[in-house]
Amino acid sequence: MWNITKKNVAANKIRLALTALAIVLGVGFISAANILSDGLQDSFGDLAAEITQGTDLQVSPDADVPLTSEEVEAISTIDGVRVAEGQHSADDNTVLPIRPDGTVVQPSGPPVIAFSWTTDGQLNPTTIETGRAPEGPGEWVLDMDAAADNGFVVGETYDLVVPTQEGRTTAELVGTFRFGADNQTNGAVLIAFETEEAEVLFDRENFSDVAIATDGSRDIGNVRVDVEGIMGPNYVTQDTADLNAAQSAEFNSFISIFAWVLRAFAIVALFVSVFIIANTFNIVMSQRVRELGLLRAIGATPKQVQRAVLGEAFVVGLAASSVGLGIGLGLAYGLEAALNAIGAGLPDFDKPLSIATIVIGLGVGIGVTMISAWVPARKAGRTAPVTAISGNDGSDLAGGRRSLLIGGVLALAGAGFTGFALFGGIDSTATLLGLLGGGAALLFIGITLLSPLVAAPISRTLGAPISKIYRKPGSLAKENAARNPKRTATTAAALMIGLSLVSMAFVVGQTLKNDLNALLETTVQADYAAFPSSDAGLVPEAVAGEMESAEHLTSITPIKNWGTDVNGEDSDVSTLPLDQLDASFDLGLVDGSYADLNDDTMAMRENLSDTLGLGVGDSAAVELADGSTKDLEIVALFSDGTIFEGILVTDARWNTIGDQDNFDWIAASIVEGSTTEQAAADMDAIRAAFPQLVAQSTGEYQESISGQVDQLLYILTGFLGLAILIAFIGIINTMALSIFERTRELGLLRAVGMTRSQMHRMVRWEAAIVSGVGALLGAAVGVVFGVLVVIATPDEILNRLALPWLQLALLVAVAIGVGLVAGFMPARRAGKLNVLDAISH
Amino acid sequence: MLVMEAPVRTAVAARTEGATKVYGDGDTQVTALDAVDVSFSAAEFTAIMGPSGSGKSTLMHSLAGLDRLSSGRVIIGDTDLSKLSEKDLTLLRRTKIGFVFQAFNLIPTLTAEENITLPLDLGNTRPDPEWLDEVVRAVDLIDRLGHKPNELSGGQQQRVAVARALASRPEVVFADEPTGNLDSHTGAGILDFMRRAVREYGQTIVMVTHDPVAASYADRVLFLADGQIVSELRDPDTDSILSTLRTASGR
Repeated sequence: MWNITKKNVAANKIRLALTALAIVLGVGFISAANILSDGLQDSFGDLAAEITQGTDLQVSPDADVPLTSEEVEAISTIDGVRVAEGQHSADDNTVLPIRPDGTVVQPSGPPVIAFSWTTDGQLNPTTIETGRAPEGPGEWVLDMDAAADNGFVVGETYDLVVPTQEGRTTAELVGTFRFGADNQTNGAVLIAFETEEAEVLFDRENFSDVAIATDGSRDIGNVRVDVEGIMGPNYVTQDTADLNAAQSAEFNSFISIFAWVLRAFAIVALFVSVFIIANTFNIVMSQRVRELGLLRAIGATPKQVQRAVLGEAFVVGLAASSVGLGIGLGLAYGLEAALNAIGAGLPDFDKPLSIATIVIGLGVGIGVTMISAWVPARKAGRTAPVTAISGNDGSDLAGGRRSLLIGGVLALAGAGFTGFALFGGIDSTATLLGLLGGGAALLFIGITLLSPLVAAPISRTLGAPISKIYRKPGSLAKENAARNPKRTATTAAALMIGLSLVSMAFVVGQTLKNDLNALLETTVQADYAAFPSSDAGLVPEAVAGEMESAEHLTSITPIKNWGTDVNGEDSDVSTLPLDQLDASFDLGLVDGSYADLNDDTMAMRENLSDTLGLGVGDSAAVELADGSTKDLEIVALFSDGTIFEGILVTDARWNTIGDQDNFDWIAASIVEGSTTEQAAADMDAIRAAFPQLVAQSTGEYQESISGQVDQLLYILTGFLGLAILIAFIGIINTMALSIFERTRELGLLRAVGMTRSQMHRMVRWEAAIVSGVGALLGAAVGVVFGVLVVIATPDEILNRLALPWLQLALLVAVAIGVGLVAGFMPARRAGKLNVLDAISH
Repeated sequence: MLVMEAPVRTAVAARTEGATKVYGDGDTQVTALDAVDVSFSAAEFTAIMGPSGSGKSTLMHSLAGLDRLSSGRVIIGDTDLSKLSEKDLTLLRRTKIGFVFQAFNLIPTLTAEENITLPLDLGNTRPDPEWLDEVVRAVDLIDRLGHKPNELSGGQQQRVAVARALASRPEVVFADEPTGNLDSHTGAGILDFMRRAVREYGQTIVMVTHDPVAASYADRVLFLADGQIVSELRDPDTDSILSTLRTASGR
């Protein structure tokens, strides 16, 4: 008897440890998200305070109104204002220093920020560290760490990428500066120029804001009233607290999105944990059915038995969440390192374990464990006292037709919610996410309850080749996986959830790539494209000239985009040299003719004309840069499946709508008779002068976008890896419990001549088959989800459905492989069974 | 009826030399087998009897390669078990030894036929179809071959177990209380078949039992007490067994 008790304890030790591990990981991840979020908010909060602390008031335009030295003068005369300074700031990453070796300084995470040097010491959050401040044209200063990290030396002259039409400037580094107390820039690179020089280099006409320091003679609030009075309603005035709040809010919204992304993955992982824990408790309760029956026989009420089981769950949950909090702290460091490794460039920050983090971690961990144990506990409470004597046949408790019925209902409800979310035309993001998340959760539970119907046939199908290869151990593995469809289904379901999300992402990703390829192949005739390496950047006008004079390039087609309003609808407006249109693009003319394009006409994309209810010959009011509108006649309609959106106008017309001298990108073709290599060499020569550019052939562009989509998919898979890992823990756990349950059977197999390695193989392949069932179900569900997402998403974003069969097959194969590995531990336990003990078990 | 060509065998199918098995150490040391020398002739049905703790199960487990001796040797055919590795011992059990246990003899996921051929299948050996047919017919299971164990009665399950034990034509079949869980009528059928396997097919069977009636089917009965063989009967009947048991226990 003692022997059995000992075995029970040993089996429970593993069960408890593995069950707890799921919770440890889930709670760890949630805690890490909270710790990171707290730490980053503190860190960026400090940064916001350092940026804003010296500025008493700041004025910025709230509409398209001027903000020049005239307005600065007016503000300066207000009583109580000590100094007012107009400030310029460039768009992030549009000013980039070039190292002596020709490469640009451009961190992949935090931006390069360029601004005008504020001369007043109070308003300027930086102080000169070496050299001096910039005082005129041809001078710049850089923050001390960026200078040291990139080898810039004060007194030397360097080139910089700037957003002018030339795209480049040369300036002497006259000094380095310290931001705040210890140059804590959170990874950003800071550059400053003298104010008038900044205006030229940043291509500005107006200040971005005016910073004001008061002289202390009047209450700042009163000064503010006067400033607002002078400036009128088209300007916003903010005091230090407003600025700080606005700056912090900007940082926090980013941090919050980031933290919620992490939490979303943690929630998926915890959801998966529910299945595993429920499964474990279910199996263990059915193994302890005699003990439960005995408790009932000697007078324990169902409630008491149920409470005892829930108590066990509470203890497991408490212990696991406590460990999870500790793991979370470690994970926070790990995540920081991982995110920095993929180029997030996070600053150094504290990792505070706040009360909220602790309460949430414990609450979630204990809650999830107890919810998971609830159904098994109820079933345990309902154990008939007579089972103390009769025992049961080892099959899992209850279930059957009723659970199939419930599964069907839940799956239908889930499908309904998900369908409504996808096709119901809901605008609120929160409602949409709630419906999608809730619907998916219901759907998963429903499918899990229904999947025992298919678990056995899938197991046998998957196992058929295995029993061909491994003969008897293989076919025993197959039958073992199929013998308890409910257990196999629940175990596999945990894997299904993670893998279905991965598969769905694969389907969407493949469709995106397919759309992109189709778009490029059908509408782009050009061979080459030059575009800025940063989103905010533009291609300097000078580049077009360089390309024109390149020997092996032709049909140079520079393109500009802007946003406007056509008959009240938001619309893009693009322009390009019309004589190059046919050489570079095939926009799929639907109606009219591009030949009729002039300064009073436009070409329109079909979907916009449909929205507006207009056709060729009709006119529409296009909003101009000065706020007025101009009626333009539609002379051509082009197809939806092209890279241009909205309307296409002549260059002269475009300049009355948009305000931009540089190009968004430039398309070009290879001169007939020249080779790709020659063209690439020409582009490389141009790139040497404009290192902010990327030049790619259409094929390279396709590859780079495909690469980006793939990278996103890998990152997503990596994050879902947590849920997948937990699912494999579940497989190990279930296998270990099944092994324990089948001790006698395994002993018999050994007695009649199954070798230890045959037994290993049998157990490992059973684990592999269970994984395979999960992966197949996951891939199937994921494909269905993916197809629905593609159908529900507007055609402009996702149109030509493509199924990544190879990736999906690979996913299933990898899952089976990992299942083999997961089976290793249970297999070792099975192999170690003492034959004699096992037979007399 | 098919005449069996019995495999060429040594006259002695299994034997022990000074078989000793000691459990525990110091004060708690228990000697389960005390230098037992015994041999089992080929084509003979031997029953081993004795009170609980007499060492009869230990003797059988050691003979069958399920347990290792503290000292002494077990020889099956001409193979010395004490010199075999764990793996070779398993392969020996698969090919040279058959088992019938008291209960839980069958793998629930396999059909009756698959259970019968299990040791052969584990070795990827094709069963001899004629012999298989013979065995199946003898245990009267032809129309039950496709059934899973839970679709068979207790007696049928034990018959499947006996058929499995015989299917590979092992050197020795060891049976541990094979009728312990059966009613007397069903049990008699099993015992009758085991005796026929010895008489007609030249099979060697060693059976551990409590039951004098079961033992009376054997050609020879060994009586164990305190780890030693204390008595032996040839061509026993129930009465002679009972009286020997009384003598042995009253010693």
